[in-house]
Amino acid sequence: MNTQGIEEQIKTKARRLGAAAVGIADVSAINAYAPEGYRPDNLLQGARSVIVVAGAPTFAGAWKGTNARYMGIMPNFPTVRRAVTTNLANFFEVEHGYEAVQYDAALESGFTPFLSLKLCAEMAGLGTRALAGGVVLNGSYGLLSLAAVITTMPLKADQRPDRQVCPHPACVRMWEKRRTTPCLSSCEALAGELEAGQIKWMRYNRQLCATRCQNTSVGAFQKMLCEIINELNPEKRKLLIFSDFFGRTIRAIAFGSELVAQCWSCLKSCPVCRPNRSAAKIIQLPKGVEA
Amino acid sequence: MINTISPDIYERFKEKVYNSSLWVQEYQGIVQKRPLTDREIGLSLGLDEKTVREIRCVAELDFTPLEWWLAADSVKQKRWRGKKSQEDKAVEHPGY
Repeated sequence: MNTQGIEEQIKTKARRLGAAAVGIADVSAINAYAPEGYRPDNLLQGARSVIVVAGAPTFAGAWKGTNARYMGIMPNFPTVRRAVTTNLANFFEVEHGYEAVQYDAALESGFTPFLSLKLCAEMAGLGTRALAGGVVLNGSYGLLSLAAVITTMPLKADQRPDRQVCPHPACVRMWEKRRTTPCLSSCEALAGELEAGQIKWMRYNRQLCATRCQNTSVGAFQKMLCEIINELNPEKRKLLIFSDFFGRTIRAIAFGSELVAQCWSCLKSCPVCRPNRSAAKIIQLPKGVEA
Repeated sequence: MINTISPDIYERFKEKVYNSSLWVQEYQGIVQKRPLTDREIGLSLGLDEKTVREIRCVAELDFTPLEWWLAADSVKQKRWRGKKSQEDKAVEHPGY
């Protein structure tokens, strides 16, 4: 007989399927921040709970790679997260009779998603916002790749962390000496200030970041296409069409790889992330639970 | 014929729409100042949501220079190896 509560059953199932961390958020808590049109219950009418599953974005080895592109071409949890959320959604629908949908950051229009997974993760207690573009950092696991299941089943939500993960004490010391942090000094897309050991304000330039983390992507293809069409010189036009960058962009779109998560320069030296990169370390089941 | 917005409408509203959108995300502490949705921008400018969405999608690419995409590889690679150069600074956003 299974004596676990339903919330623990869900978390154990998600971990068995490959998630490193799992959190549950109440839809009303997310709706307090998300505007109408971008809420869980816009994706699923009557939604009551959001289960956020998380894992390592890539392998520990990729962080140590000699080429920044390895991060984008060697995904870890992103390759399994849809299977995790699909299985969990079926669990709600088939075994419990509640409706459920899975969501892993599809875009609604332009660069805008249907729902902010960062907000869901925050509300599910999986971490707090960081200076590095407002990503959610987890105190135990560092950077997380995220996906979610939205369900009409009411569940007990997890508590949000009682203290901020970012800034790390080492970053506070660096700020006091140099007025910068490892992430802020790594990219012009980030700006911010610390005060009394806490984030005072921060700013994230998504469009500049997108050209790096979504380098060979749909946006790059559209920009190149516009340039190619407007080029009147046929020889120059040929050079643009046959160029390495345009070829890689087409290949990325054709094969659905190297489209997102291509740049983690801001977190390469992050002291919260550095000790927690190993997938082997973070994908582990609770004591007493067999895989 | 593809249903797009007119160049006149785009030129007139592109900056206001873009600057109200998510392109730059500001936080006080760790709480984000919520940008406006397409519907909310439309209400403030007297435009319908679909028109604002079209203007925003075009502006997101229009305001992002191709050079940023082309320079990204070398910028990332230098930083990945812990090096910085004047070339990195050349792709800085004017507002930064």
